[in-house]
Amino acid sequence: MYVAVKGGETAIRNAHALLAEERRGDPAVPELTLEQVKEQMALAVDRVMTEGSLYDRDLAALAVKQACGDLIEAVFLLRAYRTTLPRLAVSEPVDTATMDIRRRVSATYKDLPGGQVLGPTFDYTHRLLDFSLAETGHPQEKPAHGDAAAIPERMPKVVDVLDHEGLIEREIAPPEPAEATDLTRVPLDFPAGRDARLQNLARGDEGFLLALAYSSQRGFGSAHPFAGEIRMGEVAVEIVPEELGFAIEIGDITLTECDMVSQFKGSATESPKFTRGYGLSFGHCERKAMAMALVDRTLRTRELGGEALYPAQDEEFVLSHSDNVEASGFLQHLKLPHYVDFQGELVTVRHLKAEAARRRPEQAEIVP
Amino acid sequence: MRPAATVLGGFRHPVHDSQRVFRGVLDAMAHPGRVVGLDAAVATAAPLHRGTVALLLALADFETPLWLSPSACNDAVLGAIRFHCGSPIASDPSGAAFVVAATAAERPRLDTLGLGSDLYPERAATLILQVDGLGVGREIALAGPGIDGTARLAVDGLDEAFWAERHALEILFPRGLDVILVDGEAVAAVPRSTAVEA
Amino acid sequence: MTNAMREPLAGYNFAYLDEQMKRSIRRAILKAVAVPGYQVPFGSREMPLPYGWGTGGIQVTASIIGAEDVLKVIDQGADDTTNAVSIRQFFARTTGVATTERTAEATIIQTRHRIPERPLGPGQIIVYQVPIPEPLRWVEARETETRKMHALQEYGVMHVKLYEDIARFGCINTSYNYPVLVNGRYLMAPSPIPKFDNPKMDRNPALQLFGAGREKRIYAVPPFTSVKSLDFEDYPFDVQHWDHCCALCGAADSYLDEVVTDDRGGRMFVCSDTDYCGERRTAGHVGAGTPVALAAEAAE
Repeated sequence: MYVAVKGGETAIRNAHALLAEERRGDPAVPELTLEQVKEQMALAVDRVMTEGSLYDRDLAALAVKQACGDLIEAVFLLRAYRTTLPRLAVSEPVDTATMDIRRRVSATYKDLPGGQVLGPTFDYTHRLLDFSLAETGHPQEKPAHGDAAAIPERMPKVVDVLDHEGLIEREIAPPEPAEATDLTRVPLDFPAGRDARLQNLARGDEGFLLALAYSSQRGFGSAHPFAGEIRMGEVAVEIVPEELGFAIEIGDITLTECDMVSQFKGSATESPKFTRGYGLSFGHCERKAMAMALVDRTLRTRELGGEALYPAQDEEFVLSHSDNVEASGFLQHLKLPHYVDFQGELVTVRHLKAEAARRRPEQAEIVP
Repeated sequence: MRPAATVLGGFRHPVHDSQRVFRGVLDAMAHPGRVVGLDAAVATAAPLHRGTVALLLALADFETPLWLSPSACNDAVLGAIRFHCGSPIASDPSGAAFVVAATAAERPRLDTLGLGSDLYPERAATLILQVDGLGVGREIALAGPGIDGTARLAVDGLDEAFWAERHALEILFPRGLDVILVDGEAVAAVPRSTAVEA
Repeated sequence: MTNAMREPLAGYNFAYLDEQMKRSIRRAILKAVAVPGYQVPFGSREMPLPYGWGTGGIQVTASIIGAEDVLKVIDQGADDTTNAVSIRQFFARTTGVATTERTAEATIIQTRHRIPERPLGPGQIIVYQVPIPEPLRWVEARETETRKMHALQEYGVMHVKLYEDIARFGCINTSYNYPVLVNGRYLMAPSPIPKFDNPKMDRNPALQLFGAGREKRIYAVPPFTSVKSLDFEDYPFDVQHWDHCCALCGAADSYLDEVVTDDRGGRMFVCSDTDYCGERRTAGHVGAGTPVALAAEAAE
């Protein structure tokens, strides 16, 4: 006698227990602490905060630990938690010109006021596996901290101050700062404003943006970009509580910002100039900020009178597919049972096969 | 902002009361012409009926501009809405998501309200219109989605022009206006998909 | 089987979502009911279950459910499939409401891929989980275009696609998610239910709500609303038929799952709706109880 498969509840409980066991690994090895993740896997934490749209190093570290290091899963955990949070206030726009700079480089000008600040970067490391790190407790070289006073408090953006000829387009703030779109409250609509586009890209998957940006560099697009400036450091966040009526500082966050400039030959309506693309991430996600800046620019193709011929220029294509939590969910849902629909397809294919045999009886016996 | 001493109480159990009121209005909207009691004990601020206050507490917030007809624009009502809903008060009814008319005499002409667009019909306004009685008064025949055959809705205190204006909007579907009639704590809905007897 | 109410999960709001989120979803649901079949955009958020697992349906259910509701959750017609179990547990934990496997006892039924065999009644709400809400998506990939097509009620391309099926295959080659026209106006995806279930949507006394979380759309079919599966005069719409009855309860009118019983082509056909099958067996109906050989298989 056939009995339908039962026991979903038991199976689920057991799967959770097995996952917890996998997460912990060998119990003889000391368990990872959130402090360790936060301090020593900082770039993973930064990526999870950026794509998770939630600036909280502790929660992001918890998500990384809980997800066994699967960063897309960690982003998802943080986003799902974000859903439960009420919206208490909207911050004032942050002013990155007042950033407490830890890194700042420009590829377009040799020297600039405030200088180039290399900061912590992989850029000039030789990618040799450092076997001394295989052991813990290895003494590390102390960095020489330069004269902090040499970095001015206010460091305007390179592309804003060094272009005296007006060759680089200026970012003009709207006269009446309207409330920015929030894609977590209002779904994406097309054509998307730049605010929605930048929010979408900031939340978007780093790998996806990286590949798109790369495709535009290789000719699937028309970007000829220069890194006008990349800066990383701490910025104050302010809110204006309604009962006070003036701004108060609620804390500092680490940001990475990128301004890309691209040559633009001009169009029927626009004169030749350098156009800009913008990237911003929480923490130190430099690759992400650069890729985002490139894609922000390629998505302006239509706005600048061009024709969107390539994926990186196609707003609907890029913005609809950038989110890794959405993409991962939809891809992986193929694991869920589909046997009702498959049954429908079985019935249809059998019918089609019978129909084909009726039409062409001589071919019906051919089995591939 | 410190609430003024006159601010009315909101729901006693905001989570469960909002849910119950919503299910009441959902039932009404899904069955045009059905008179549904909104089971929520809320204080009223004249001239708003209990049902109107419950609807606003359950549905309005900072995302929904609200227009109030002149007699409802008093300090008690405005204070309660600012405190409990945080809705922006619209000076022009055409830009409001919720249009509240304390009486039929104070209602704006229906075709001056936000009717949505063919591309985005959901952007149309919801008109919350207070009447003198539901289940009594002039009967009107309704047909369309949510109705098995024909429904009859009796309303007291609605001008004749209302139904003519409402009927004239039908040709615009999917643009249109979703109307919730309120009498005390009872409501009846006439969504834009409903054909009303001319 | 019905499980009684219990205390909801501490530390989270009733039904997980914060109240502002619920309000915005509730407003979207009311507009969806007012414009039957039209997909209302809403500010969908990440839920603790992944996109693709029914987050749209979960957000709709979370926004409508109250302490007095009795919830049934099915996937593939069954209450005990892992995803149905998981979603039912989620609501049991976050709301504490009573849950049931009995279609007749539920006030809210959340479903993936099926409509129960037992006719729904007035006052019930069925919530469908929807992966791709846009019925035109396979003929036009762009939202900007499909939105215009809906605005202009320009559905000719869909008829062309179905007609091409007939020309090539002699029948319409769509067995699930078969497009329907709602109230004579909007073309709508019924979600990936088998076309066998399409006729149940027509003039149903229950309220039908559809949630697509990843695609951020909600739509609705109010009670007693016309839902017509697209077809042609000379090729009328038809549903799947089996030459078998359910091997467990003997039902000849239900959607059947085909269960492989061995590696030699042995098959067994059983009701996909486990509650329906169980009720019939309790009432004394008995099926043949034996597998059938594939050779006995007949076409539609």
